[in-house]
Amino acid sequence: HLNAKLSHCGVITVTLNESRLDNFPRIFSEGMNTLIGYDLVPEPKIVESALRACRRLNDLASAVRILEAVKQKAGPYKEIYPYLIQELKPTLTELGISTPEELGIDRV
Amino acid sequence: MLHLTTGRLGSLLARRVTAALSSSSVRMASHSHEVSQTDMSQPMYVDRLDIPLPDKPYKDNLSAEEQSLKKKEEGPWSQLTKEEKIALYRMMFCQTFPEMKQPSDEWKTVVGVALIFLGISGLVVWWQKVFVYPKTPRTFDEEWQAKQLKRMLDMRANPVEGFSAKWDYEKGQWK
Repeated sequence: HLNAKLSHCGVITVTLNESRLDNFPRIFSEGMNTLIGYDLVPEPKIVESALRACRRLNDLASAVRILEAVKQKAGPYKEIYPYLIQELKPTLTELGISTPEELGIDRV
Repeated sequence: MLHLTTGRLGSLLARRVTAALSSSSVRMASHSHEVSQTDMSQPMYVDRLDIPLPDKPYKDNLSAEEQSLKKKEEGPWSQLTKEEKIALYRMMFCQTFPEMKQPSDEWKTVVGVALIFLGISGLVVWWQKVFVYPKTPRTFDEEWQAKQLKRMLDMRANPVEGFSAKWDYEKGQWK
């Protein structure tokens, strides 16, 4: 059931993040907010496609925001976020996205 | 504040609620705490943990410096410095997630005001006792109550398991 939801999210996110929809950043933010609304932490490949969409939309701030949001989604399960970052490291380096921790905004 | 009657206070509150909920641009004539009225039919910016990407960026009017940074954002992000990345974030968003999650002291205000109102009610109740209520009936007097109790025992009220069952008739005291 959870895997079905994850693959459903993956299909939706990857579809929404296709470049032909890049004239509509609103569609991306709506899709992202919906994904965050689900009771799950998105898989690394889903987050990756969201980050690539941010790149196409020339929106670094949203990319960082998405990393903050998935950390929030992990809730008390503190080991999920480091795993995500570890899996996303190649993408983050490729696109030049800094994590909230690297920017120092993970603290007040 | 003290000279307002309950009726006028209620209608004042009702007016505030209606003004806050309506999307008209007419300002309240009496007093307005907002500098400009929020048009809720337009996309709004909001800091929410469950809405990471709001309907619009936080900063609308970008300075020339900020606009040139936005231009630079169209190129490789690895060329942006840490400060530039933070600046881009702050242009798009108001609070970071940790800032949103900061606890506030609002609960102390809430509990304090609630207790104050309870205290005022307590004062009102005491004042009523002193100045409003008539004398309590004579059946509440110590002497009357003692006689009433003796009468119940003499009648053997509830002698099996209840009242009189607890009285020791030989010793003339409670068991």
